[in-house]
Amino acid sequence: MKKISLLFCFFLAVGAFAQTSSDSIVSPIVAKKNEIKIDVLNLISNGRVGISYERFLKHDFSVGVTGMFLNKASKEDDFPTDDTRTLIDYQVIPYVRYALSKSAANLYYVEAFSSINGGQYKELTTLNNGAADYVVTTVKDYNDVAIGASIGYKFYIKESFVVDLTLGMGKNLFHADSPETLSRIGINVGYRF
Amino acid sequence: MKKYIQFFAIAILFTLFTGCTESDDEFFASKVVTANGLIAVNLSGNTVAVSTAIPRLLPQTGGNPFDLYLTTTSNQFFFNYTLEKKNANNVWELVAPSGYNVVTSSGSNQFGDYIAAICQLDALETTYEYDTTIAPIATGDYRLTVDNEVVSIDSKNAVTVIIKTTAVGDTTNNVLEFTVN
Repeated sequence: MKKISLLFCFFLAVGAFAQTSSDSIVSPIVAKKNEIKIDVLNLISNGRVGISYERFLKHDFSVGVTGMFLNKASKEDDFPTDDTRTLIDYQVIPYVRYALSKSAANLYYVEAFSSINGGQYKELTTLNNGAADYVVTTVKDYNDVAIGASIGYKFYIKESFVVDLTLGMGKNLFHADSPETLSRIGINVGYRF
Repeated sequence: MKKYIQFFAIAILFTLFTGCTESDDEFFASKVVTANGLIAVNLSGNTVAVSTAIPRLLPQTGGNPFDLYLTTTSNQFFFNYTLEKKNANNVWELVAPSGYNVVTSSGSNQFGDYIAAICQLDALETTYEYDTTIAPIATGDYRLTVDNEVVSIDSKNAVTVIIKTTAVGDTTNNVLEFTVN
């Protein structure tokens, strides 16, 4: 029994040492569990403000949420007369990510996401003024939910500042007049803490 | 350094795909209606008369009249037709505007490979009118072909209307062949 206790203590010590050794080579990035980012690509090119929060649950697994909102009045103003059928006003995108790379500082990942999105769409409406029919373009609101997947790459500078590139596609599920597909493309820069 | 080069290469690719971040389904604000026999083509001697009188309140089979002006907010519609002449090899060739005389009493024309016939809404805003006679200068065999669509012009912030129609008068399937002696 004493021998068994000694053997147990030995393996416990070896395990503890191994754990210590492992921790000693782990990047300090891993100890930081939270990350906030802003999407500079959509901000510059599309007038959309996109802010993300990501929480790291394990070394290779994280969850997050992105809020993206249209912040360009000219797009809203032009929409009734331009040649696009839909205009996305907002998206709330919860996601889960799995890191494909071992490195914490420089990694590829895959992502599954959902997008709760809403905006406007156009359709032709026939009206009647008592004498004849005529057709006008009308703008209506929609709300929908999409699911999709993405791939991405991110790297850290000074173990805190992150650059995160995401490329993905989703499909709206419920509303017949919402955009059939949603793309998820972003270049995010942010801070991990 | 290599990492940053890779990053910038990827960033450029992303930028190229920026348009994909926006909804790319297109919306064409256009309405197609059908009204046969709106274009009249009549031959008189060596002269062809092409004319239209499209009612603003276009009758629709089994329904209410369709208000072209209220839908398009446009004072003009157009349709195209071509005038061709058979050459020495029995091949049809387009006739240049210098090859025929034109007299226009309603509407107007724009000349190119096609003759664009512009139908003008009259002062009472009841009819889109066009009336032109064409007289080829040289002798020979000619063919006048009329498109089967009349389309609104410059429907700014409104709906473009495309009227599917046919030519009536001396044409067969929208084509008139005639000889100038």
